[in-house]
Amino acid sequence: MNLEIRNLSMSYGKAQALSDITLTLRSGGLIGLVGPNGAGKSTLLKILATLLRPSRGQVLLDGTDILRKPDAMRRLLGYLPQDVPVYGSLSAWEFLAFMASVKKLKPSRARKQIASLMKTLHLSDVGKKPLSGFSGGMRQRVGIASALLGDPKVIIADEPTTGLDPRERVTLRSLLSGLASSRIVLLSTHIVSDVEAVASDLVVLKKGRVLFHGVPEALTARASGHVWEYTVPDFSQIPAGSSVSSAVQETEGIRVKTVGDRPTASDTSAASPTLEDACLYVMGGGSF
Amino acid sequence: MKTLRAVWGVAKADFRERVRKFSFLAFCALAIFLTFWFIPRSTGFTALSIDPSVFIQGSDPSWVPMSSAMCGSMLLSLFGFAYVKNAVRRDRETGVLSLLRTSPTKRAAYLFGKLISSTLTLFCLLAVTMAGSFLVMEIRFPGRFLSPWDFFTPFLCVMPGLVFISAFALLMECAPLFRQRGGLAIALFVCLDITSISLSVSAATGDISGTGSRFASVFDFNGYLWMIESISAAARSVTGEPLTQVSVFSDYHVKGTHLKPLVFHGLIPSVSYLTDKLILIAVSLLITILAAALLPKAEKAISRSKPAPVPSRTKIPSRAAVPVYRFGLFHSELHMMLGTQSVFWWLCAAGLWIACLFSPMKIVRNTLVALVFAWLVPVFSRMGCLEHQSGMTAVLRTIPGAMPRQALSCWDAGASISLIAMLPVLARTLCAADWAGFLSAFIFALFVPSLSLFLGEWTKSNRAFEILLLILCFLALNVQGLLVVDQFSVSSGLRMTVTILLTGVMLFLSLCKRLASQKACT
Repeated sequence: MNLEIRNLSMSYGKAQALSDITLTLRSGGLIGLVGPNGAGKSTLLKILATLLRPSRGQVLLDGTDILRKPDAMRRLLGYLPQDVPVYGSLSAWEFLAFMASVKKLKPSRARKQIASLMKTLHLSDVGKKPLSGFSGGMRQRVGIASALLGDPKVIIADEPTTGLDPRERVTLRSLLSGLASSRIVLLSTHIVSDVEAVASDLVVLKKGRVLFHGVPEALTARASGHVWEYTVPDFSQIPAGSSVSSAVQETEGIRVKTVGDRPTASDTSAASPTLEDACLYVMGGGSF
Repeated sequence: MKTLRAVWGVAKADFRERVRKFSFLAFCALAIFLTFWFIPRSTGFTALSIDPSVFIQGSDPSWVPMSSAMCGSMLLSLFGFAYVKNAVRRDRETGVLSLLRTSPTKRAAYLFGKLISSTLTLFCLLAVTMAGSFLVMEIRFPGRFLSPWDFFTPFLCVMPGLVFISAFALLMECAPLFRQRGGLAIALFVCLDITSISLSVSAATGDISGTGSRFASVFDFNGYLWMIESISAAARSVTGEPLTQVSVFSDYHVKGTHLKPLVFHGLIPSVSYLTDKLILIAVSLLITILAAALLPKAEKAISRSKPAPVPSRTKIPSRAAVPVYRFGLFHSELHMMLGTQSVFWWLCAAGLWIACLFSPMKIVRNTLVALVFAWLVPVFSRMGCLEHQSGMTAVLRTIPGAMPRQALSCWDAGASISLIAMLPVLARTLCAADWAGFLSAFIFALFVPSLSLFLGEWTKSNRAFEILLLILCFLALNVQGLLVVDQFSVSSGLRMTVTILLTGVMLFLSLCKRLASQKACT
């Protein structure tokens, strides 16, 4: 399965949310979409989910233009938005039954899928309780279950790990990664560690532009030789304008890791880049 | 089959979501309470009076379902419209609509599901009214029973109208002009309701005939024409004469002699009326299809050139500035209430204000004041509940004294807007030394923001206020001098006193609740 994005642009008045994006996304592995806040990740995902019309460009799903024929995508789509919408007065089971009917699943098939998903996502015990009483993580799991109903071939998850505890995040990543072998699974996040272990394809977005598209190892390799480590006695000693990847208090002082073309302090040593360091390097780094 | 399943799935989920809310129970309780108020009385203010100089009023149990159906249909159509008109907006605000847009379910299927849900909700409220009527009948006329036809048919003729109301509410939610302007939709519905009732009455009295009469019959969504015809038939069977007066919510003091008992036998069987009701249902389905065509297929790209309405200057009060601390808040509240209104809203508000200044005082008293406050619904409706709905209370509670302070500033802003809106009426009554008019207008101007703040604070929702103010405006359009009196009298004095007391009590209770929230640990 192929999802081809051609020259996609989206503008809101004078502000350009997406600029001339061209990508090809394939099934076979989880695709991570990373970028800082305001990069255009949600906008891109909403266009792919047929919720927004772009100002320009095409999106082809196995050759079919989904902007002209959105149903071609909708029949195969499982969408998990950033804030999981629910009907608070319904129980988890009732809400999933509602979503199943909206996705036009047969009742018998829906019942089986709901039971299976609730078991997988540890919702069986709370299935009959109203959603208004659910914690953020539980609602997220209901949202994931709702997205997975109907066995979708394209799964789009917009920052699905928000509100999940570390164990839940690992479970979700593993679940989505397992589904990606025969589906297009696109997961957006601004937390790189969410995709580090599971993504086989990575897209880095900043200010509406694609800065990188490829395997994570290639991104990491690009940052090789551009990551530096040194120790300072306190935070005030970190040179201004440094792109700091991490600053950890240790017994000897503060262990600082920066990214950039040149070290910004003396007495530095080269460090092996992590994927997060590589993203920071490609995005132009933060400052301290 | 799949589409029908999707329609039913949407209807079932939406219905469950509605009826499991506290507000539904509150409306049911209100409906039962009102059925006691619908009992016809022999003198004074009564829900239904039929030729009081000829017939004994409320002499027979058959009066109860007829009175409940006539009065209930009027109130159910008004507050029912306001109650169901958020079906799509709720999904839009919670994000469920976005989720549904990514599914294969078409807009029409989605809206038909909503139509079924809204209609079923209104049917439930009607059923509660019927249950209340049955109870009233048992209390008022113990041991005297009616046949099922006599009891049920007055209510049944209201049902097609409820389908129409649900469909019209959906249209108002989907049509671009009305989507964000709840007050305008309400005002339009009030006008439609009044027109429908007027046409029905005109057709019943023979003032219009032919095509006009047919049109009135089809769009008689309150069911009045059929009910009045049935009442007329019952009256003719007693006196041989046509009816001269049928009034709903009227005040009379006729004392006649040799009054006759009047017994109703439900609705007169009529193929013509039944056909008209079926046509009304068909029209409702067409309206729903139109609403589906108007519902956007995708989100509009959110314009980022207009920032969200945030107060431009919110001063953090210094110790020295404590005596004037509220002005910053007052300014913020004013900005939040008025800053989000569209140019169209402002133009209409200005038009109504100018009309109050130059129109004959009688029209101002009996019509324009009600329309002004109906138009102000979007301004007042978020008072007291915006903080709860946006989650701001969690933040306000962490700031000493912020909860009651914010509520008071909100009331200040609302009262200022209300007084400015009433300025033409206040000025004219003052110049004419019409002290009764001035006082009643002033009191009402303060009453509305108190009511809004109270209902918003206690229900954490804007709908209770919208519905109540709508009913009040509708009653004001039908009962002369309800809001702005033209002379002092026992009843007007009593009304003004009660209004002042209610204004004070509601403001006090709102502030108490805010203080209690501020002091609570959880």
